[in-house]
Amino acid sequence: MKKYKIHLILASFFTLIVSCDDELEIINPNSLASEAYYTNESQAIASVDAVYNALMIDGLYNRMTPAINDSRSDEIQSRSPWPFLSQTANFTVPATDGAVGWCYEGYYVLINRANQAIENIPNIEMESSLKERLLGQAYFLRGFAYFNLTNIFDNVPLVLNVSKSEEDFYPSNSDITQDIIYAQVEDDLAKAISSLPVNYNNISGPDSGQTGRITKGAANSLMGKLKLYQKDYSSAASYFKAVIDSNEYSLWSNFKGLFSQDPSIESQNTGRIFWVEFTQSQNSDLNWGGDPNVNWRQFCALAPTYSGADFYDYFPTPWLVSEFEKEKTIDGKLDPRYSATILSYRPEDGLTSAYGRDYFLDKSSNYIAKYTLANEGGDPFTSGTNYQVIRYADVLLMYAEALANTGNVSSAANYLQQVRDRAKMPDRSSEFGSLNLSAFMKQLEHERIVELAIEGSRWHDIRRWGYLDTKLSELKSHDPEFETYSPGREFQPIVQGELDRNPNLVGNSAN
Amino acid sequence: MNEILNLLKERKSKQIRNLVMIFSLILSTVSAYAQQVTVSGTVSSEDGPLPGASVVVKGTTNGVAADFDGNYTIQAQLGDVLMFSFTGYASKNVTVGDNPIINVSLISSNELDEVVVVGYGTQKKSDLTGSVSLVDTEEMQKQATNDVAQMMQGRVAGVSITSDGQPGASPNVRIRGVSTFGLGASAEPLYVVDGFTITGGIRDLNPNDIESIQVLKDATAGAIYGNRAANGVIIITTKSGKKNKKFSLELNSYYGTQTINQRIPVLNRSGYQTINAKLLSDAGQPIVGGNDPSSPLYISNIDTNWQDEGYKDGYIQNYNLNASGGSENTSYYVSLDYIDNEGTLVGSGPDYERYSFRVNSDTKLGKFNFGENFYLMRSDENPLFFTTSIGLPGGRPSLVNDLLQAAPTIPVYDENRVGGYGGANSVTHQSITLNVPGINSLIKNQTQVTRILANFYAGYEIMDGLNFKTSLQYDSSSVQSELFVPEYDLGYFFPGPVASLQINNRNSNSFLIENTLNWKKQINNHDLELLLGQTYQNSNFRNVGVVGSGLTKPYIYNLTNATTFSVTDAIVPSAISSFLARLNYNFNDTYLLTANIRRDGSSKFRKDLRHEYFPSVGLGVKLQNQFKLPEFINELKLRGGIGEVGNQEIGDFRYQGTVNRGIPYEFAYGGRAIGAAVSTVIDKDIKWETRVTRSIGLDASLFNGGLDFTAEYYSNTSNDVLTTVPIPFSNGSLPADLFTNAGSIKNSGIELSFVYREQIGDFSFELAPNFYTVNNEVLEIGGTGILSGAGSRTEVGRSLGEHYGWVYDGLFQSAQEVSSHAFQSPGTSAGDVRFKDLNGDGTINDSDRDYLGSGLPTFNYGINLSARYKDFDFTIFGQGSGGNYINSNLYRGLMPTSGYTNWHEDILNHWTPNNTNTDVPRVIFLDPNNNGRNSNRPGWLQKGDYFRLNTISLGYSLPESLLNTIKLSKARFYVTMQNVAVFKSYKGYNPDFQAGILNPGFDYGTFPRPTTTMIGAQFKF
Repeated sequence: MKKYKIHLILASFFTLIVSCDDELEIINPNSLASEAYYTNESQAIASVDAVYNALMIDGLYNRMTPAINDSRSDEIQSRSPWPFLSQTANFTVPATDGAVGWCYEGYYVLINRANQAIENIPNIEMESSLKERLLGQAYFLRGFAYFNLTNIFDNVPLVLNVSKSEEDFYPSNSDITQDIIYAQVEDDLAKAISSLPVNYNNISGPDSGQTGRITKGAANSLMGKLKLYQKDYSSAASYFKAVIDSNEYSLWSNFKGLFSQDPSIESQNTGRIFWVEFTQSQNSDLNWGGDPNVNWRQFCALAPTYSGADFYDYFPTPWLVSEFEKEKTIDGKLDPRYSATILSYRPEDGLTSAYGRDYFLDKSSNYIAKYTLANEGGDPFTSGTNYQVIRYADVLLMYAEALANTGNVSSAANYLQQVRDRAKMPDRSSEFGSLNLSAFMKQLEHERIVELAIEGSRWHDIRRWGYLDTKLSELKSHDPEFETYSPGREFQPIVQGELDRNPNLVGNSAN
Repeated sequence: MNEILNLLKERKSKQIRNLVMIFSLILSTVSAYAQQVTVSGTVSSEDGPLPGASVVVKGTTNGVAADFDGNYTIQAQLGDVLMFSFTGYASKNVTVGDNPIINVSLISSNELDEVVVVGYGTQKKSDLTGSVSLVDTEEMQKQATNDVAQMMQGRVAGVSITSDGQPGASPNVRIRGVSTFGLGASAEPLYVVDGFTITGGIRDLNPNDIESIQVLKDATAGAIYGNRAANGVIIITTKSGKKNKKFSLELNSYYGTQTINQRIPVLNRSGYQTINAKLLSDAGQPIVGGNDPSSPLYISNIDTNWQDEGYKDGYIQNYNLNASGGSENTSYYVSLDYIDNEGTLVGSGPDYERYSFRVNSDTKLGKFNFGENFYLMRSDENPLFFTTSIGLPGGRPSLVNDLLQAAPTIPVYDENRVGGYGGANSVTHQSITLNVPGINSLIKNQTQVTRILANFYAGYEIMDGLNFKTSLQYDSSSVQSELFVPEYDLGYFFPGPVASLQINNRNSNSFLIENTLNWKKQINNHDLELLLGQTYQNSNFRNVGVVGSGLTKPYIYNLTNATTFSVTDAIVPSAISSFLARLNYNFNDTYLLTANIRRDGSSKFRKDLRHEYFPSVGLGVKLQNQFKLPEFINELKLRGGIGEVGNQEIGDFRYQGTVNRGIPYEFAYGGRAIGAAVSTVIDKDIKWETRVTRSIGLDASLFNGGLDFTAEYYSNTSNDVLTTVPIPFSNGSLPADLFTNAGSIKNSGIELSFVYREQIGDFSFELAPNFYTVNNEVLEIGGTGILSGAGSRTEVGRSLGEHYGWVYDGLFQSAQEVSSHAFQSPGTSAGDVRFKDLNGDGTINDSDRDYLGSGLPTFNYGINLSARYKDFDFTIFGQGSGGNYINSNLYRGLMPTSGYTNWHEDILNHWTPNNTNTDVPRVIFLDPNNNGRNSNRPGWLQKGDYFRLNTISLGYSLPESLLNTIKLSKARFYVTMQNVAVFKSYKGYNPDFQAGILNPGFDYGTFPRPTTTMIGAQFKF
């Protein structure tokens, strides 16, 4: 009798164990498993949209890509208490400063998402022209990321596939050179050019009317820029010509409006080719980076960073101010691009306000206006000013450069003049058209300075024109931060953390 | 009568077996001749007289038994030795002298006879083969805090507890070193309350309800808890009534004030301005207006002492009413408790307040017994907030660092700013200074916790020696928090233009069912006990949070008044199903064997990796029953064991890769697209961590309870340690780390604990020191073989988080010295730090870094002295550790070479051409030489050795005569001082700060601990 009881109890034990084991299979109730993804059209679109998201993080256009480019040029100087910003500006930042890696890490997040799209979209059953357009956007963004990476860091590793297992984690860069990366960028951009539409208004599909997506013109512009950087002038010229001949873009008369955060003004901008969209959203999570969520804002942190009324990390060099003062408009007035670029108290030029009210900063100082809200006011942490990565004026100036370098200075001068006309500068096209190449380039350089100041180009112009070797003392006279420049520092160092993580990685000339 | 110390909280009095024997001895006594003395007196203990205590003349059969009042009379000769004994107490010998009255108080028996809770059952301490330590709960409860874990600091060899100083701080508890990297795996031990494994932590428990705490330190004891025992197990048992005891009511209360006495010496206004002006002017930079005497913006009328402004006096009070008793079949314990602790930071917190109620009962009816433990609590607290949760930019340091670094030129109040508190502006101050009392007063941060911990058990004696027991437990906790941040302006770096309200609801509940079968059998000299058990536990957790922004004045704290929202929701279900078995074998009360095995199945791992066995075995020998030992050795046990336990707390759903479907981007056309991508590279084969423990120990009880000690050596290896293998950023993974099981860590050391008791007349005392060492060594890391932490590096062959950086080589005194040394930076000059060129390559770079010292203490100790003299009792307790170095983020943040925040006074000794005999480098804008880098320059790494005098307490109990008149059975009044002093050379607040596992020596900036002075009273009716 007692034994029977014991057996019964033991038996019930075992049944309890077995039945409870079924309760142990618990699937994550918070998100979808990755194996179940990439099956339909809307997921294909979502995977490309995720790539765009990476453009708005700190390492990219929220702050660092513009800041490290602008500050290293002679346009602005750092006064930041944050050593990373000041030491980047004066070429002494150590590779061990973690912030050096934010830029690098950010672009690879973008590249990873682009690789996921490129790998998975071809396998999805969907309408083929939509598939083409989506892949074109992914290829463009990947090419764009590598273009920026190599311009900033030189010989970065080339990762073109999604990492799946340990063999993929540690790519080598010992055989990589900038030329090899440029060749890959060209490959990606060529695919983009052939797949992308001229605009999204004349297509049919779920992305119809979705202005802001990458267009063929953007891909042609970037390809032209790549060719220009490679000094392949005739090839560069042909790409820029394709952009101009498409008649999709024109110079907008409202220069200041190019940098407004007001969406109704932004939509009138006929010169925007490739830009990063920022909005005035007040969502709770700032879009600095990390794993995104739907509560992210989409603001541009250049607004507080560049602003003299906020972080005031930088200020324009006196030399930059003097560049604007070199030539007056046809009405004898100050270059209208000045006030969109620099904030100063100049009652003689009618400049007496700041941030939408009476000027309240130091009247003897100059502050950065571009990409801050200096001309409209507002909360800098919800700044929705779009960042113009490539705009039409830049294309015209680059086209002029390419034409001039293929022996066509007079034609180049006409394109130069188009940009000058928008700023009401006197017509000197015939004068410039008869200059020799080096004199013309000097003028072109000036036009690029006043048109594209503090837009991330000047530094790369300095670099690609060899000024760090040939004109260092002149640069020093523009900006004392060049005093601590040493050769090898035309690139930012690859962050030490990455070199520690990847034994197959070698540093660059700045390491 | 009352001089005897009570060592044990709960003793089971056994039946007096030898009562009959003694009576027969009396009848057959041979009376002694010559020099006969009639000796009489009383035999008693702290609890009162010991009726039936045995008094025997040594070496004879002449013996008597004390009567119901403990009185005895016996015939003996001068010079005879009388032996006084009573079961459960240490015997005492007294020589018959001139005095015919001999009153004896017996000290209760040593711990080795005590019954301890070991997990799914109890065992006599003398029969244990594993490493189990008992916490002296009575001594522990002399400390005033709401948190049980904090009270345990320094009391158990092998258990290290570090904590921040604010009310509600949750301490880190580490048993025998850290056996995980903490990268996704928990390092906390498993808590078992009244037999049930709880998942919500023990912070909500009422310390006054606790009867006993046992710490299971190795697998021999802990393997019965299998996949959750790798970090050790802490078993807590709450009070219960006693059967056949009349109703007793007890009231305990105390009130204490808390003050932060420590001050870090920082500069005043003129000192701050002078240093800031100098570092700027020496670099040719303009001096910011507020600090420039020649500027109209110069500040001369504000000199804020931020520590005085930020700290205030707090208080702590506790009221506890409990009743217990029992009839023949049922016993019960009921308690009501209230604790209120107001903290020492100016503003809306931190504070902690809690109400709790408990009723425990147990009933025995024939072959059945059943009972319950029910606990209900509600707490209201204002926790110390994290600066990240209120959106402060810039990667803020801890709040305490902000308080110390705040520039003295900024006022606390400023009616011109929104919110009314002062802040910096970029033109006058240019200082990134946070007004800590300001922000802490502006925000509203409240958390309410309601928790129910209820269990019910029933047992049935199937037949003699065979018992079945089933238990059910329900643990439910509901946490609601509210954080409101109004619009404020605390300076150019801290504009708070938008008000926000953040509401979080966290609900968790856990259900556990357990069935055990226990079989005891004795055959001749063989004592066997077999336990079989089955348990199933499932838990559910959901955290829903909403942040609403854009509320406008007048503020109503309701989310419907916000304009934009963001939402988070996390759901975490988990389950564990287990089977366990244990065999205890005792041969002849001499040889002991314990074997445990547990099979756990956990929902956290992939199906084919889900189940695992965790075995252990322990052996012991009671040497006093095998060999003839010298008389002063009462018990001497040699024991040892080996086993394996696991750590399944690795986070949830780690093996399931997921797509992030919330990646937004709004396009120009106005549509906000939500993108999706796989964010993180994961390892599908992920599994639990395991720990193999080996220990050997010696437990001894000497001199009849006069001295107990335990000496032990342990060596534990943890394998499959979850580690984040940092993978290159080029993989684009967020985070750029792969969680995988690849690490291995070893911890070994010795533990020594003593209890020394002495009684001299009316004065008795107990001295209990403990000392232990932890030698931590990392055996494997995986990936690149290096894990980095703040200023630290973990590498195979070294301990976790050793300090790592450049090696200090004095200061440069001249430009010549700079140029003749290896290249450091283009801006290096006289007055800068010189670093050693370790590889001799002429450049100081990352290859010139070296290990600079251990971040983990190598030895720890605690010492408790409690003494009694007549009606007075006195306690002093202290603990400390040493052998480590501290990288103080707090101190380094106060000693930068360049900056606009305030400095420690040490900066006044900075290098100048006129002050060259110093180790503080020059002050210069932007620190071109990077003097601030991780190195061992003086002050950058400080010795962590310390001794903290935790508690001094003096109490007085009313004598029995007085008690009888006021009808009380006990009345005690006491004064206690807590955190009396810290002896240290460390320049931060707390040398025993809470730190991350990969940088244990990194003091991020912990809140200082206050000194508490309190008075209290205990009454028993």
